[in-house]
Amino acid sequence: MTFKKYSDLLLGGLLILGCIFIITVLIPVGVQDPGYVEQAALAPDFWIKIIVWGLLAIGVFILVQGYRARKRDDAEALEADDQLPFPRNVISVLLVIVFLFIYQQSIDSLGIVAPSIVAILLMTTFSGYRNWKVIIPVAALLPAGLYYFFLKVAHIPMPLGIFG
Amino acid sequence: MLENLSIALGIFASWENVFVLFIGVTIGTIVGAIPGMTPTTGVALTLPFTFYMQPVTGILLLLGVYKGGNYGGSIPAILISTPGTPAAACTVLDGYPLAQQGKANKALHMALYASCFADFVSNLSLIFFAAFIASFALRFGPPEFFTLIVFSLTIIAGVAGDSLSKGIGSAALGLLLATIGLDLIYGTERFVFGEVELLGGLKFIPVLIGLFAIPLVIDHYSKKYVPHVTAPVGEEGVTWAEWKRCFKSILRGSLIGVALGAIPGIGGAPASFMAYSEAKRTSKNRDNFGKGEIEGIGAAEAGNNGVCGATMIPLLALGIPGDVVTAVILGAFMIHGLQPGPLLFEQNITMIYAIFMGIMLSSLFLLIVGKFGIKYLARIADVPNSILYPVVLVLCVFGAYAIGNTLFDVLLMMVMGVVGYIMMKFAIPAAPFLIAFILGPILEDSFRQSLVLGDGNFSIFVRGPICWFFLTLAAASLFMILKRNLGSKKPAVQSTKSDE
Repeated sequence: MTFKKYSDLLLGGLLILGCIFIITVLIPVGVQDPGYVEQAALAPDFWIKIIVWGLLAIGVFILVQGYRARKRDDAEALEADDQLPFPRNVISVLLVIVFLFIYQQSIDSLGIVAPSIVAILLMTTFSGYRNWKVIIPVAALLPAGLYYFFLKVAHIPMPLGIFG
Repeated sequence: MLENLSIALGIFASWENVFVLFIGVTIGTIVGAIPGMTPTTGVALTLPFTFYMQPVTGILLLLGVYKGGNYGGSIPAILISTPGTPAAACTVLDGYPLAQQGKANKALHMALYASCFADFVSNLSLIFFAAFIASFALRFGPPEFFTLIVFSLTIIAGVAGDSLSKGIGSAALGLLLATIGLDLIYGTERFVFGEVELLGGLKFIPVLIGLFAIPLVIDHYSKKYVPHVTAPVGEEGVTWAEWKRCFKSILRGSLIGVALGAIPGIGGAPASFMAYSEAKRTSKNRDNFGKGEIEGIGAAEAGNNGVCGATMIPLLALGIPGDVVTAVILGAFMIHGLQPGPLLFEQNITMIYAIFMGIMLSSLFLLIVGKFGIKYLARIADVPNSILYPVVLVLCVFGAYAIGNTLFDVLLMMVMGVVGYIMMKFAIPAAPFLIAFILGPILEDSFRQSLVLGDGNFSIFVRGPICWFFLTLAAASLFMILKRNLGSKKPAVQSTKSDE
């Protein structure tokens, strides 16, 4: 089974489930009722409902499209040949996504410069690049340069965390 | 008029503006020359650096990046057969074969001259048409704006990707995301869930950077390392006779670019392919097209760069962005408290003139940067992605944090990055999402204002010829896109073979 071949089926299904969730849970809980509404079409949730019902119809359309496309020749569903083999590609992507959120969380305590230096070091080496004469100057100078640009030129304070 | 022009000259004629414009064109050309980086990514990453600038200065920086990026895409297209931007894909057809013949310098120079000429023509069209359209648009009320935005979104959703349904779905998701925050009429909360940061709605810049830069970073780690071979630049340039021979195709390509660029959503890629096919159809050397014909490079680049100024016409005159880059520029206007559209021509005409002056100068800067930088720019294509994408990530984080000095914006950018990556994998185009996200509040506002005007009667949306005009255009374009989509699906295998 290739992802590309079944992607429309999956996407259509996800859109339909997402829209049902928005209509039944998110709108009733997340959209406040102002109490009195002059016209039904001016209600805060009216516009949202139009969008979500439209999206639901598109989800059904994509699902049907995906069901029909499933029967087409497998040759059309080949994955791009520049991708890493499965499951290495999925693991790499998941690791990078997890790293992005660790990076974001660490800024609070470590400031913006130190995690950025670590991010450049880790991410360049993770992709197999080992030219330290390039990596180290870039990792050290870029975050420091950006920090000083925003602080001194743009007058936008940047966090330094425990290093501040 | 003359008084306004002299005030505008006063606003524009500062070293800071000229320098920033030059830097913008240089950055854009460098970004465009890097395979995988687009002018959109370049403009998105530059936007946070404009916060502290005067509005005209900041907008000129972004315009410089946009124009430089559109030209820069031709460099890797010619040297390594990898278009730096989608719009430069057509340049590969003749640019790379010419480079393989040891004439890369000739191809690069033709791309530069055609780009600068088309850019100049496009700028002139902007100056001539924007004010005229804006004066007409002063007659628009909420129903007219509603139908205009519906038409624009229909086209953008239809042409942005391979599938109309995914394009419309993407736009619908963008509209949905734009509803987060306080209700426009009643001030009640919508999808806020007690999070103070969401009261004002999702900020545009983290959404933009998240959608257009972070997915590239994530996607890089799912790919194999594929080394590319850069063709030597060579010495041979473009002769006067060659320029004269290609001029007709370049002029035609420029005008095609202008015409297509002025329609919201079309963009540079269709313009360059149409300009190329017209040049091929009418050229005496048509048999040489695809084998290293310099006229093909000129036509493709003219079509591609002819859209640059023209995409600003709907933005400045109507407040409707023609593509993602102009959507970012719309965001830059908004950051500085300005709303492009007909009223801007009434209230801030001197600022518009100052921007026009900068735009005209940008064509000259493009020529200078390209002419003197070709040999150095050619090396940029060699920058390894392994170092490039971590650098992009750090730029994104600094940029997102700088918007409001809050980590929430960085988190929002990361979340949108993951959303953007998922969209990329499902082949959902991100452009309709972003443009709908920006236009969403205006669309909803005009929808509800129209209903207030019409006492809740939906017939207000067909109240006059302007509404009918846009609704008919929307229906006609939807029909044509649908016809194209259905037509291209049947002979899928054959069509790939007969692309040429």
